[in-house]
Amino acid sequence: MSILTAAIYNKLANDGTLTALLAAYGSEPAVFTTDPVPGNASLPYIVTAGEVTQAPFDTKQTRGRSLIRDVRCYAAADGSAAVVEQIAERVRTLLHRQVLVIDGYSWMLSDCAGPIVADDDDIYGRIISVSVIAQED
Amino acid sequence: MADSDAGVNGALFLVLVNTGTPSVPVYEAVGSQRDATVEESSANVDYSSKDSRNQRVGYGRYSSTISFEHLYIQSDTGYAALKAANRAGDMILVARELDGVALETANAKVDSMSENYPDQGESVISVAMTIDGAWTEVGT
Repeated sequence: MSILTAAIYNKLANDGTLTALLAAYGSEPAVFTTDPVPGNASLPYIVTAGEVTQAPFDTKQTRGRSLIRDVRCYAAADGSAAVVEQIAERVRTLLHRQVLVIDGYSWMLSDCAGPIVADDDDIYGRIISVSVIAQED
Repeated sequence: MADSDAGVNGALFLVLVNTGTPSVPVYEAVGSQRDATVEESSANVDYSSKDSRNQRVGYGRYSSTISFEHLYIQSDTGYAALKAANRAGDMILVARELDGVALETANAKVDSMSENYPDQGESVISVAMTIDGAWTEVGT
């Protein structure tokens, strides 16, 4: 499992403001860490499945990682992008310059790019790309 | 901190500093080092003459310097020792270590410590030192 999966999931799924904007899947907020999402998932939801890039962030004595991960937000294309934009802005607020608790690592920095538009025929999308640097404990 | 035996790219050359006392030194590697340069040089004594067009040289003053760069770690004892020595104007014992083995020690003067704290980037400390005297092989 990616070192960021649990860290980002926990950050998003434990925020009441964000989860109030999302559908539920079972008893949990609709935040998915796999692609594609289950066929019976309802909009709006978030998908963050794996890193876009992952590079070493090492010194001679320490090991670390520099990662970029996309967080994709989706809502129904009902004529207004207000919901998906609210979700994306909340995701950015939760991740930009915010400490992440990463098991086995010490967080160094987080930086968000976006949200950028990723609309499709019957779904509105916004993507936030989160850059994270963390060092192994 | 990760186990440095978990893989090395390049030489595992580290700069150690004395975090103990001058009489009972305790050498510790300054944390999170990324780069190190050791320079040893000798000035020329020029004894050329009009007798020949060839330049003739001999060894003049020997000198050695170390410069290295490491990530800023607030709690690092090696960094703290260097900073204290620099501010107090004290000499500090340093050692060169390769693959976990201390090779040589020397007394050093801290010439400069440059601390760079960028926004949204790693903080890096750059240190330059001049050796007082010569390097001494460990065990001699």
